[in-house]
Amino acid sequence: MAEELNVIGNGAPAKPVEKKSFWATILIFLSLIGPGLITGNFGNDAGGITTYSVCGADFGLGMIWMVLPVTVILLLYQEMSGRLGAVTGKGLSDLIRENFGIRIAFYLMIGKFLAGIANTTAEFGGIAASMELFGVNKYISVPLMAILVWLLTIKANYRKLEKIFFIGIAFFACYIVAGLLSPIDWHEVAKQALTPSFRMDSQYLMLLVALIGTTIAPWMVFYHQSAVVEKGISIAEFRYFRWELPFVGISVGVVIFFIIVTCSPLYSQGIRIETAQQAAMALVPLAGVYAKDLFAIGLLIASLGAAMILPISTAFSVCEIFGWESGVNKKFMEAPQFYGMFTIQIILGAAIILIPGIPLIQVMILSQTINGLLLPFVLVIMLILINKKKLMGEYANGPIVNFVAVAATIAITASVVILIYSSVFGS
Amino acid sequence: MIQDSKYFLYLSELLDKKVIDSQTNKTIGRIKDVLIAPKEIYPEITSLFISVGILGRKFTVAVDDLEPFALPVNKLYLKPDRKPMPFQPSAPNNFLLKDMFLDKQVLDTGGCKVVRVNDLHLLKENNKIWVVHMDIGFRGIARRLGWLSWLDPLVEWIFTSKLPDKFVSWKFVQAIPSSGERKSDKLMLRSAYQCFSEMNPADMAEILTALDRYERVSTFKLMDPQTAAEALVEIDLKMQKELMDLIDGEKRREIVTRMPSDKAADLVSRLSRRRQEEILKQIPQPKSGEIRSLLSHPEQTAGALMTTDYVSLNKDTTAEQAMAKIREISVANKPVYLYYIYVIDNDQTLQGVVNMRRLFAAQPASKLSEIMNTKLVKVKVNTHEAKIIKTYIKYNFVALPVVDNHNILKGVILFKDLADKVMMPLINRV
Repeated sequence: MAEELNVIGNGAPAKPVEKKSFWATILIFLSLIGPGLITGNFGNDAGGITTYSVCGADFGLGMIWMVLPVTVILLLYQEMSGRLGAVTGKGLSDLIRENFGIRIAFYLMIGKFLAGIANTTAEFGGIAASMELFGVNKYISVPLMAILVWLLTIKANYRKLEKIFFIGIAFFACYIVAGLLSPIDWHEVAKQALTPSFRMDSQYLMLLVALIGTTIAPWMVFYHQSAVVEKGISIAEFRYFRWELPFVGISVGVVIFFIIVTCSPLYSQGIRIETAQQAAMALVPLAGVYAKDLFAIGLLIASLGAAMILPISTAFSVCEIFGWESGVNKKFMEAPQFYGMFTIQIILGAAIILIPGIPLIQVMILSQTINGLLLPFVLVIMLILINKKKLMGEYANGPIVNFVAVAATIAITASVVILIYSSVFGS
Repeated sequence: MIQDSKYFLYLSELLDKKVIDSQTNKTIGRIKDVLIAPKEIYPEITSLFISVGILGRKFTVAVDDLEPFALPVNKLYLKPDRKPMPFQPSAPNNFLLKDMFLDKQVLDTGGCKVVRVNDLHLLKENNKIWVVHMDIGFRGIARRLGWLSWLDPLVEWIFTSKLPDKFVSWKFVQAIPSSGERKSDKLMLRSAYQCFSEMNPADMAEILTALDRYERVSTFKLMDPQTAAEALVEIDLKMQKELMDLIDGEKRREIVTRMPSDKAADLVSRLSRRRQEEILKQIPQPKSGEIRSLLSHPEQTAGALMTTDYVSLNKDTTAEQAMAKIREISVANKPVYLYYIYVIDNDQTLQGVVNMRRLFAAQPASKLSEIMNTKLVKVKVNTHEAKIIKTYIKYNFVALPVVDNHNILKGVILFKDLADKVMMPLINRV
């Protein structure tokens, strides 16, 4: 970074930031980009991609208008978790312990740890499914990928990991190409994207709810804040940091959009699918074998990335609560609990997927259910924290953001409650 | 009446317990926090902070006004003729113990670590309660989760010993200054200044590294310039730069002035051009000149490695004068390395070197030119790092003089600086 920055403490009034040259500003911006893009894009993990595929296959373009609101919700929470991290310099679990006491923090962490294992398992499920599309047996692909994920995280520091993730994000362009290969009526897409439609049948509503529920997972909120802190972004830089949000919105929105669009021809063909793997296979007669391959690559990268980020996020949280050393910049022996926690999740996640005959869909539903149980608590806690004047000073939420955030939290909570109810008691 | 005597209890055992008015037998409220008075080393708990419901009224009850109680604490009774007082949040000496310490990070100045407070250990004697330890162990967490009743027997059954307590005496507890809230400052930080200056700079550096960004800055600001300079040298350059960016110009100047010039040059080279100029202009000569010239050397050469904080004296100086000079430097506590005296001629060319042993053994009136060692090993300003390392390995010196093409002394490379440069990448790789 070529320019110095005026950084101020929590609650202190901001010094006016001096005018900087255009290139200096761009440079600062580029140095701050990362946490949001990575969290947002890898938030479209195996579970997300499955949900979007099913959306396209079951309702064609009928749900494409949801891409915009769903992206806005994601950005809303990213902005808040980033602001919390930048102003306090602390991770979310740290803040929970300091402001809500050990009891709430501890039980939340148990939940988060279970969710972490379930989610990691689902990601390895995604890895297995995508590699099977290339004809690789899961007993080969999953252990290999688990070792790859483990080694990368142990060896790399935050900057290197960030680069690896960026390369991963570039691979999401696969979905765009797959979409372009599919026989799509683009006029129809444009029309549907801009006109919200609504159907009162239960299946449509269920999928709508699933779509909202999959947008934001508890680990995303925690990881984003930890990444902002680990990157050392301060509130004075946060101004630039916010510029990342439009890019996050576009990249995440485009991926969701193209997955739904790519799968929409299946609807007119009357093909029903349950998994992303089935979606990819069903695309072969319609869009060619390359569409299938591209789809599989996208799924593989998304699952791999999430299989790395998820355990990191959980390890961060647990270590913060107990006051153990944490951070991907540390060596294994400097932060044994951190890497131990990370390793346990990878091993368990990979091992569960290797159980012969394990139903992948059930694993995915389970992981989304645990996420759903946890999410309302996390979002409410976040809202309370970000409204604390003592903590946030002048950076606490304003009334407009609060209104939108409360509305979104209610919508998400309602969604996950419906989702869990139906998945537990049957639709 | 319950027998009262001297015993220990935990803050977590008091919290959320009911306080009851013994006349009416009605519940006044639950204990939510305790107020402490910072008197001696161990603060005394003066009163209990009680609230009715979540948003209800808030009271304080003086510890003196309570009926004696014993463990385990269940309910506390107010003495018959006493009344709870309304809580005054703005009162100057209202320090809320739980709010300020429980679950927060503090400095353990004894162990030189940043730790998290899991519980607080209190001593009750007659009608007084003192805060004596902080609990930083897992046992504290288990206690607060209400797990001890089953965890203790389990651990004892497996390991045949109890889950150990991990206490830190209160006298080593130092609140971490945060720029947001200043209240804890009054309580603790009168001694912070002193406590930091007593610490080993390397420990201090480790603590700074462990803190979050804002705590780091506010802690750093509390150190006196000398301590700050010593600690700063020990932490990594990126953090050094961040800290220097965040403190005000006057303090920055003082700190850089107190750093050895080679370390100062390393730091200054990381700052923006404008800030470099700003600092260099503020620092008095000859220090700023030294830093400037160090900055001008390419990396990995002797010029970039060397320091200019050495002692050089004219060859006609007597041993007595030289010793006086060394005493003067030592008294002023200047950041100068006193391994050798470099002996120079009138034209500044390097003639020889005198080590301390030799100097003290010499007759007071003998000149440096008579006692100096002229078999000099020296390197040029543009000599490469690798060559310097070889030279060191061959001769086993602690310091190596650096000269320019005209044999004029420019600086000294210290073995420890070279070791830092060479060893750090190795350590990072392990």
